[in-house]
Amino acid sequence: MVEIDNISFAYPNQQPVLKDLSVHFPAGQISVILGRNGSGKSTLLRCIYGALYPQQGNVTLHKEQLFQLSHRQIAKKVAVVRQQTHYIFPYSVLDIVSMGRTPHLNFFNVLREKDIAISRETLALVGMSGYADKKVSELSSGESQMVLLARALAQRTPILLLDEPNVHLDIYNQVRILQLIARLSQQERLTVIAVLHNPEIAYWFADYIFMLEKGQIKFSGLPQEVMTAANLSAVYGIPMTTHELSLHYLAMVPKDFLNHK
Amino acid sequence: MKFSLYFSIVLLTIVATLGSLAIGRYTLVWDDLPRNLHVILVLRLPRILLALMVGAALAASGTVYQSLFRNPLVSPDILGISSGACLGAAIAILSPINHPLFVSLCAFSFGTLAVFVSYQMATLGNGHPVMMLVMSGIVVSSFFSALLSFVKYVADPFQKLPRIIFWIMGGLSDATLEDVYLAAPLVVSGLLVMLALRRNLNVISLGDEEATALGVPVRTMRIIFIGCSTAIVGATISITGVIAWVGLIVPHLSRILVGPNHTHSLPFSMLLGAVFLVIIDTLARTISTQEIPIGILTSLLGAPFFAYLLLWKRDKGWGQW
Repeated sequence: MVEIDNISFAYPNQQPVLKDLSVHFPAGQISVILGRNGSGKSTLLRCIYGALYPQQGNVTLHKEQLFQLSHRQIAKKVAVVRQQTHYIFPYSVLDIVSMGRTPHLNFFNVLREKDIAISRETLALVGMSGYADKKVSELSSGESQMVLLARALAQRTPILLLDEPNVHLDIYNQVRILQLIARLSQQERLTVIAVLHNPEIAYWFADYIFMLEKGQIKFSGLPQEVMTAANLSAVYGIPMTTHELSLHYLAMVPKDFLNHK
Repeated sequence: MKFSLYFSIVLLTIVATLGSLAIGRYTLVWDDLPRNLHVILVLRLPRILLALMVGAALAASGTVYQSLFRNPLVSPDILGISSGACLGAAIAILSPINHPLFVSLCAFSFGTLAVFVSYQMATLGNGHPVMMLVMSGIVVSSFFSALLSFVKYVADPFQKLPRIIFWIMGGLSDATLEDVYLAAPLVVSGLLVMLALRRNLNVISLGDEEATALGVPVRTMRIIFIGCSTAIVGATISITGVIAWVGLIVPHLSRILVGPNHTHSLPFSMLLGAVFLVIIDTLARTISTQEIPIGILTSLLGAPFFAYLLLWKRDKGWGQW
């Protein structure tokens, strides 16, 4: 369980990004955060993995206060997959995945047999065992994102954060990576918190939806409850219309799109 | 594969060291043992030890800076550390204190100041981070060089100026065992700290945010690594003067040979830098009857080699920027 109570955050000399925000992300479930660019989605995630510390309020990870934990302790609880990283040096895929073991190593970061085994195991889990010795600079965007997911999974944390993990991917790779995450979250009882841009994907991927507007949670609940035309229009700032295709699929399109052309 | 590379480089270091002990303008003859011993132990050995140390230090600090700043184009020279250290040393020589330790200390402080200013300037501006750091390094470097010229201009032309110029062009030619004793503790302990913590460089080279998310204390590591590399560069520069290019090309070469993972690339880089400088220095003192300043040779070899990397080698040892 990730509990966020009354946090506020502002970057230096700027308007606050998060304003007195409170939200509880349920354990073992997939929560998806939606909202417009600049609504504070990524900032909220960064407050959970300790990259930022809110100026006010509390973040609690499984009953432990975030600000009392060292980065290493946080990294044993929370793993994060961010948008694609650029690699300055062409590390091998196994090098990158085993970096996920860092929080479990000593000060000198010496990998043990066990860590290599876990890294290889995780690589197999994302279906990339054959890639261990390949250079990351030679991977496609889809493969590269899978490697980052493997690195996060190799951390063996109960909480997994995803910051637009599908942003550079084609629809095949989007579905593949999200399906894998959904399956793992069920099997391993992972608490998943994801920032996504596409509300249609969020509808079938999420157990719970949190809609963010101007640094505050505007709507939250089950996808079927909150993803209404009225709520979407309010959050995204354009008139939207929805068409239910089946129980788990909802088409969401901007209304009168052609009239604006 | 890696084992055989390590084996070759260690073997090469031993061969180069022994070879360098045997080669020189004075030809060793069998029947004059005391004289041979004097040439080997007093004239050649300090110089070779110093070359090994300086080569390892420059290559190691190049490797470390390239990862810390996530920039394959930086080296002690480009970040302005070399010119900063030169200025510091010149000021120390000019000052009334003028003790070898004080010279080293000043070289270190000004080198640190230079890298700090370069880095701060690069992060303040909003440009491509790789290019910004190279640019601000050039700015800082030429500013310190101008100050150095000024110090030379005002220095007493009979007493101090020759010492400053001699020191800057120094090379390894007047290395003594005292120089080795002076620099060795600092350089060796700096290199050992870097070796012990080298695996952290892998994660740090992914960027601060990634490294933090993986639980590495980035700030602490950065301070330790910058402190160590600047200290060892300052310590060696204050004895030998500026030796260009080693800190840039040796890290690249070792990444091409053993891969970018610092578990191997840092120790390999140290060995390669050491053996490279011993060979170059041996050439410098044997090619012609008059000694060639070593900086000229490293630049003559380094610049074309780097051009070759840029233009023809696909596997450059760095990824996308």
